[in-house]
Amino acid sequence: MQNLTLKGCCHSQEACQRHLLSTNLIVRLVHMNPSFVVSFLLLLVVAVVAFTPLNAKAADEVVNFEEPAHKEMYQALLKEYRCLKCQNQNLWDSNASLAGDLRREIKGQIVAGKSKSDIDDYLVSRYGEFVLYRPRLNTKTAILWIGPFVLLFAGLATVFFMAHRKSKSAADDASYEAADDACDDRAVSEDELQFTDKLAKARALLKE
Amino acid sequence: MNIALKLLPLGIFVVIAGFLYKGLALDPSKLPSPLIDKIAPAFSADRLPAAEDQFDSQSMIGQVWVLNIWASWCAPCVEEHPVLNSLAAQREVALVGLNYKDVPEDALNWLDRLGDPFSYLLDDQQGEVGLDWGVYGVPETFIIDKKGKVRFKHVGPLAPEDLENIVLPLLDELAVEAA
Repeated sequence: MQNLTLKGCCHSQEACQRHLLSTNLIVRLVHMNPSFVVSFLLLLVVAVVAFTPLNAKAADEVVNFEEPAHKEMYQALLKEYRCLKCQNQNLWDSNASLAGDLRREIKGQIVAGKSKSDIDDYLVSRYGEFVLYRPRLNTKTAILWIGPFVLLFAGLATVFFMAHRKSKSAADDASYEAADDACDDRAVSEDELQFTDKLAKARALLKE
Repeated sequence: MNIALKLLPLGIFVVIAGFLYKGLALDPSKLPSPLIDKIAPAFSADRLPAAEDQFDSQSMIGQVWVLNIWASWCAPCVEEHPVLNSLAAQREVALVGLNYKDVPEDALNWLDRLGDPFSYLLDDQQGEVGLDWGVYGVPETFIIDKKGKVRFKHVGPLAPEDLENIVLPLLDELAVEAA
């Protein structure tokens, strides 16, 4: 029977898992009684988490360095690089076998005296800027870095511009209103004159 | 001018929404390769079965060749293999198979069962050659031109449509380019 131990990463996890689990006892157990398995798994997770030492090494490997400076650099760098297979993890956390290969390679480079930018170049030339959690600033990543500030500036400018227009039109409105009021006053007094005239005439007629 | 100003926020929204919509269709697990249009990483590797000579990538300069990274433990490689067999049958191109992080005996048995389209079968048990090519999973396929430049990378298994629509036309195009 073929040895199905996963040595690396498939580009189709679903296909890999289907292939492996088709003969897997756990799958049959889950089909039989899901709630039992779920509660068992939850208990297992709680037990494991309770007993995991908080200073676990990168993905449970113990890596030895002769120089403490190298060890610090190693730990710091691993947290800055993305695991390309498990893309929401960094190389420090990921258990993927590619992550293990890259960790070994990075360790070798640190011990050989390479700097962070050398190692960045090494990874980016093979995997692209996406491998860095903090992409470097160049023409391709400029939009990524500057875009949010441009949008913020555009938003603030819009707010400022609209507030300025509102206060300007408020001043216009005020002057229009004053003119209206003036008109109204005049109009009222003309009407009133005519009205009091008519009223006087009507009273005169009634008295007769 | 006034109407244009009022429509500006809507315009900005439409532009941003367009980018986000496009982003929904992108698959982050299929990374674009930074090797495209660059000279392919030079490497040498043992050939399988072990009795044969070493392979040196420099010897491929002057011809178009295809590099397929695969392994016997990889399920999608089983899906892809008939496509590779078809490619070898339809074109004279050199098909180099890089057996990635695998046991050579398993690899040879697998090929006995499924067919061997490879002109050269290489051994990369440690994954070192893969690291230089930016391999992050299997299978992956590269097409390299006569000058030794990487012109195409496909992440994941090759589908028959990919063969018909992309690979074969590209191989034909590269075949008539000058060396």
